[in-house]
Amino acid sequence: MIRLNLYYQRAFYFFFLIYNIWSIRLNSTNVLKPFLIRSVHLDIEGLRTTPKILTLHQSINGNIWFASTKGLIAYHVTKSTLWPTEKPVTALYSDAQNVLWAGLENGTILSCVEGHCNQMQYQGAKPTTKITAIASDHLGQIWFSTYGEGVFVLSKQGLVQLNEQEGLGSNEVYGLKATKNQTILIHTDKGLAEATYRPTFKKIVNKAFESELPDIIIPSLEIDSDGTAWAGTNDQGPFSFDPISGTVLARVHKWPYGEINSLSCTGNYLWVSTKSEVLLRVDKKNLNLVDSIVVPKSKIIQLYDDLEGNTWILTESELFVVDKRFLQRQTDLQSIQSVLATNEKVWLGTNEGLYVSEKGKAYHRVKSNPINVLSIFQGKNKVIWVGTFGQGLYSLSPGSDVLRWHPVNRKLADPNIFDITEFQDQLWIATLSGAYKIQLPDDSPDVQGPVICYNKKSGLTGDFIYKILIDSKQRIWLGTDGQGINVIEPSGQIIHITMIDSTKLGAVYSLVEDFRGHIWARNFEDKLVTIDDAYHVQWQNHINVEQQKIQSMTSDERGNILIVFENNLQHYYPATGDCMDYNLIINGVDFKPSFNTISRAEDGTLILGDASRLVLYQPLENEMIRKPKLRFVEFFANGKKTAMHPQQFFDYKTNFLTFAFEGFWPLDQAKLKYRYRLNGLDTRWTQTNETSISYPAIPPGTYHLKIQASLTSGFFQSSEINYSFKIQEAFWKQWWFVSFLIAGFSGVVYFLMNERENKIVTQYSIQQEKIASQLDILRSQINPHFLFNSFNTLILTIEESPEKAIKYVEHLSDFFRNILAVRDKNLITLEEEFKLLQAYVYLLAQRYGDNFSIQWPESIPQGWVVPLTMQILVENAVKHNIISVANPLVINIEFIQEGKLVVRNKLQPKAKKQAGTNFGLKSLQTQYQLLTARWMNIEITNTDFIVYVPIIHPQEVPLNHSNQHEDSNH
Amino acid sequence: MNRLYLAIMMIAFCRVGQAQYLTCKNGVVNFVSEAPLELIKAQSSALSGIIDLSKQTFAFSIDSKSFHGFNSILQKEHFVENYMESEKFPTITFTGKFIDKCDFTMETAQSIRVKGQLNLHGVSQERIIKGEILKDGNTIKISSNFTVPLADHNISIPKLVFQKIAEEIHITVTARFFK
Repeated sequence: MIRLNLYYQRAFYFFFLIYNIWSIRLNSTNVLKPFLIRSVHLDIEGLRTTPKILTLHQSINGNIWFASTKGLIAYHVTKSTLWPTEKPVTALYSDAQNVLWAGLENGTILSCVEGHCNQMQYQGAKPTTKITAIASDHLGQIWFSTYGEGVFVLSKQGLVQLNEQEGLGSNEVYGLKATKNQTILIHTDKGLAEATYRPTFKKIVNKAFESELPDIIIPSLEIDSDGTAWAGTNDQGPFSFDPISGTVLARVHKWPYGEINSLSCTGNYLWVSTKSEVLLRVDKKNLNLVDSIVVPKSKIIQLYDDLEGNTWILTESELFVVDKRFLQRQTDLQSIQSVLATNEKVWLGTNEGLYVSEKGKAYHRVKSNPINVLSIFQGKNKVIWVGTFGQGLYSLSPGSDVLRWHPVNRKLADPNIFDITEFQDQLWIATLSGAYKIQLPDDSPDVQGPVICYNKKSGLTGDFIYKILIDSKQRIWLGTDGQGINVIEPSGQIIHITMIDSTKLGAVYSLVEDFRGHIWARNFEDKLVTIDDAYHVQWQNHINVEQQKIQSMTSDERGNILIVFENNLQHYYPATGDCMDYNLIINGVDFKPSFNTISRAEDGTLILGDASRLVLYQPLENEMIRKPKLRFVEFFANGKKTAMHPQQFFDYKTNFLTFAFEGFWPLDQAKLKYRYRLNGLDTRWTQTNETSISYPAIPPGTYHLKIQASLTSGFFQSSEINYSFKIQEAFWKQWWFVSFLIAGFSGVVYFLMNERENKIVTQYSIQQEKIASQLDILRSQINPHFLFNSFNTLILTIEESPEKAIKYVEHLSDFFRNILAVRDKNLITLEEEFKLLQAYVYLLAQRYGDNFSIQWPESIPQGWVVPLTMQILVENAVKHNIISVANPLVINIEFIQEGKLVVRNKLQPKAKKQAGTNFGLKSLQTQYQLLTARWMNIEITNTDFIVYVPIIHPQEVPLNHSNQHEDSNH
Repeated sequence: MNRLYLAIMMIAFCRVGQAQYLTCKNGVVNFVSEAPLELIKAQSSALSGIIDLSKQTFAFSIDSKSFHGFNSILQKEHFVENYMESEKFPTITFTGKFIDKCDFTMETAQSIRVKGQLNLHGVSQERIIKGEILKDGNTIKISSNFTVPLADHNISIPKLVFQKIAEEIHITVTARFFK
């Protein structure tokens, strides 16, 4: 160090070098932690850094709460929630009604119910200094202790203050606890005070001097389930105290470790923290220090025992959870093959010899030749029997420090001893040449025999015996290699148990008797069977569901079964079917024990041997079967975050549901297993490691979702959450909609039928009229007069001008062709109609010369008319009027604004009425009315004959008409 | 500053006619910092104190610049300027009350514990400190040793010198009180 110092002074470079070496050395000393300890991380919603935690509390429903400098924190695995408070929260407590009480640094008191915190306003006194602790008495009154103002009781009358004036030792109160004596025990710098408060009287009894406490400064106090108070003092260590008799039960005589700031009193050991990194384990019976263990890297603020039997260690910078049942001890030994725990001693057998440790001290080797120890057993008079691999039987008497070889070994056909037990002055050993019953001598230290050998010759199924169990009915059970179980009954009869359900039982390595007297056996395939009194064999496959490798089995003090696997331990309670499962992988170090390296000490502690370490398991008294906590975190309907309500209804479209949930097992979150089933859709459970479930398309129906969390694959003590919901049928499948739909449909059908009928009638009439008008036109066209007149005109023209005549004939033929072309149409355009008319007018013009003329409109608008309308009207005018030089006939054609074509001529009727029935005009009128529902009006004034023809607009044209028209155009 | 503080204390403790005081003017305070690479020792004999016997309360005060005996002058400067920040926090005080009952007339050594606020580097910490009282003629000798974790008082040690200064400083106090 001096040399290093020299270097350091010369240059910083060397300093860093040293620093690095030093820190590496520090890390390498951080070897195996003694506890099954897990670090707990607090991830608070909306906060990047966790505020300083001051204390923690578990409410009756199991929720964990933290008091921090920033406020109250509700703990969840994924995201914890912070309720900010104006001042740091310094005390937490939940009463029997599950109301959470929080005390602040400035004396403010909050009460929280179902996540809603209120600052309470009370009648009476009001604390203004730090609240240090909260408790409730048997009357349900809430007690608050303060640091400077004594204690306050919240009764029906409001807050009442009890302080030094009322007889309290000091107003600076560290804390208070409710006793089984229906009082409140208060601890201060002036000892303990027992307080009671009723509206009618109050009483404070100061225990400081009357009962001679070891120390009057008592910063910490806990009361265990038996009602014993455990106090941690400033200078005199811990002491236990009976609140009922008011006497000190046990005290420490020398305590050099300083002030005790927190205590944990569950289990057989008292855990003590001293404002340092060191945790001290103290025997509860005599308060002797068992060991001191450096746990975290920073000073311990508080130890807290939760309802599940875990102890939380709150340090200045970290948070840990420890299972007090477990403690692991590193040994310097390699390949531990057998373990025996006796009173205050632990014996370990390795392939090099036998080792022993007294009261937790280091292991030392028991003097002997090199021996490979397979089995250790403590017999009568505390003799330790050692079975070896290939070297026979040894023993160690109390007081002796040398292993003794026994002459009886010469009588054994095989020197490999796998198991040893004792029964009525006889030693039973399991070897590869059968089981031997050896008579133990009364006085001689050497065992000579005689021996009785049980092997194939004497009726066993095999010679290789691995395990011997003598049960409560004095039957001797032998586990063989590959040949099942042999039972030697007290009568001497040998029973073979080799098959189960036509399966071979095979090699049996472990045999244990449970509290019912049933024998548990474990075979080569790591399967478990039980055998009852009537030798009825039953598979217990539901226990080792994952087919893990079973290394050893034993029973606890109450006859429950412990099964040691590679990396974990199951504590199985046959009476209830409950099962606790503990993970033995600590800090990533696998737990890989040899076969049958398990032993139960007299205090009930189970010692499990690993290759080079031991794990001590001490089940708590009144072991409570614990279940992981489970809750819904979020719920999404069609991908949208939605609130969950009981008996929720969803419409048919909201059928994609996602449930996010969260299990909580502080000791080993990764061990949690989940399964779920949607009753109404799923027929079986689905196991998952995910913490969210999605159902993408749930058909309408009523559903009940169940989610379970458990520590074991068999889902032994699982906790369950459930949620009922309903997805409604689509509206078109609902009765009211269906009936409405049928009614509507019938109505529509009726309406359409009606319409169709009308249409058919109309069409029929149009057809009739058309036929009639065509007949009329044809009739008039082939009217002999028309032909005569035309031919006369033709003859005259031929004489005058043969060229004109040819033109005339062309027009005539055009005219007839056109008539034939349009006669099938319902409508033609005005343009076509005027072309037709021009051809006809040409013919008439040739006949009447200048006496006949047409006044054409300036332009022709878009529109349709009934074919040959104009021709019929012109023909009608020519037919009924005088056409002469004196009275020339002028037909005026024009369009007026209301969409009408007006055909007008001066009225100059012939004296003799023309034959004919005006059929052409009437037919036209009927057609227009049927097609357009408008009238073709005929107006006869004194001077004029006027016809108003309705022009059919393109949008008016019924589809089939226009189509027909279009078709004919193409 | 030191005197002023004491004067204030005197006034505060003063109750006409009934008060009984013990005072001390030059008590000795030793401190030892035992770090892996360096041992630092310093002392001061400028501790002043007052005890109110009727109320069982006390007050101590010391000038943080009054320490001497470091390994070098530079080290003292460092101590005063960087760690104690004496310009900002000139005095170290400890005021509080007696917890254990003690008899100031007994001529054998008695162990006592006091509880008070230790104000160092401007940070006040409640401490329970153990000491010994011995009546020696007309004077009453009070002695105590305890540790002060630097982190408790917001005194941070630069990483480069952390092997030269201990995280916890051992303090020894010896003071003679007169009536």
